[in-house]
Amino acid sequence: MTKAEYMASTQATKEAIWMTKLMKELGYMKEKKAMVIRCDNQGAISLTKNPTQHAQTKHIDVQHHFVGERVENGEVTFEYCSTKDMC
Amino acid sequence: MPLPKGRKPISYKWVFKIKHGVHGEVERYKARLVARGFTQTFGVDYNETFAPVAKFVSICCILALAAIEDMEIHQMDVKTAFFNGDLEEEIYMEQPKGFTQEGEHLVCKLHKSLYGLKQSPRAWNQKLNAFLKSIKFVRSDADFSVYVAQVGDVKFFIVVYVDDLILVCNNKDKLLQVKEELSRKFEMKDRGDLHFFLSMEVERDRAQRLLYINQIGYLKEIFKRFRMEDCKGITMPLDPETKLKKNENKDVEIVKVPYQQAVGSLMYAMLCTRSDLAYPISVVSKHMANPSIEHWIVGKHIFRYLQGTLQFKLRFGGLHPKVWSDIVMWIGPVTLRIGDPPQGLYS
Repeated sequence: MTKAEYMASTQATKEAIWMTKLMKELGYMKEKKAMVIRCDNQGAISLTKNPTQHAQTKHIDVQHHFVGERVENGEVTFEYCSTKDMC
Repeated sequence: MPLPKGRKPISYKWVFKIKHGVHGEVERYKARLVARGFTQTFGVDYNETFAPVAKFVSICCILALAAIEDMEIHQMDVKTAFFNGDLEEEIYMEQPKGFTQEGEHLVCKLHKSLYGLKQSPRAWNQKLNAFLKSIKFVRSDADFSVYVAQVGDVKFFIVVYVDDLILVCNNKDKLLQVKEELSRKFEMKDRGDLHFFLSMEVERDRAQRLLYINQIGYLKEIFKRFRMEDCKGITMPLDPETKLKKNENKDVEIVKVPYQQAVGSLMYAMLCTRSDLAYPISVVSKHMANPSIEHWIVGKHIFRYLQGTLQFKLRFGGLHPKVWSDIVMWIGPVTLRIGDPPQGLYS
């Protein structure tokens, strides 16, 4: 299941970057601060921090590793949030 | 004027419409002269046709900000907006009957954009864009239909949806001033506080700095359209056991049900206020091309779910938002869990 969450986090990151841009133009988020994205999958979170390639994750396409770059740049950060608290 | 050689005039049509008020009474009769845009040729009668419209996400973001900061949200619309656009191309149209001038082969040369022309939305948008720029608004790069003006503490956002404008400002005087400027330039209708926009109803609780949006009216309408208004409500969007297969034996019975239209109508609700429908809709929309009765039963299930959860609303704002991205999705007494993809955004 990690793959699904990882790909979803790519989508969320794209959205977050766009939203940061919009908010800057509206006069908010002036200081550089990473937007927090919560995810209920530890595996996906550790992949964003350290996109290692090993037997279990090598099928994940390179394009999805763009999340890792954004985390490194400090544009987004991922936090764990259990499924129960997701409402 | 006489038609230049080598040009073909485009044809026109009269469109008549009866406008009904809230209670179904006849409000006014409308007659509109429209150009038949499909008779235009690319490169001769029109070139660029793209015109931006607001993204739903940016509307939501701005409404959320307005709720948190307790800003004024007003709505205005432009009467016969497209007539304001200037045409860059030379376009000739046949003379409308009853308004003809004597003479052989005389046609009308159009100066302003008409409804129906391919480039009308663009011409109007450019006109509005130029005007908003002239009164010191900056167009956002993130969404071309969002305009921002900021002087000191005064924040002013405008969201443009073709001829509907949402004006958001934290200063009443400034709001009135801009409204006046707009009305001086275009023929506008001031609709006051935002209550209804794109089939969504907007309610506010300013003391709590909350803003709710719902589509109950729209949902009731689609219930009626697909004869589901008396269905029994349930609280489960999709039966977990559901396994839809491709329709192999061309089931003719389904032709009686406008499956595609039904899924499309549900999809609009999903895009606006009901993200909880995302998964069940993805299931039924896989079978748009060749639906059978089984697929329609799942579709009806979604309608019944909507019936059971009709009062669900989206809530924005709050008194103590931690970060602005805390757009909380609370729905009535029940909370809605957002499924996988854009979670964090609505944390």
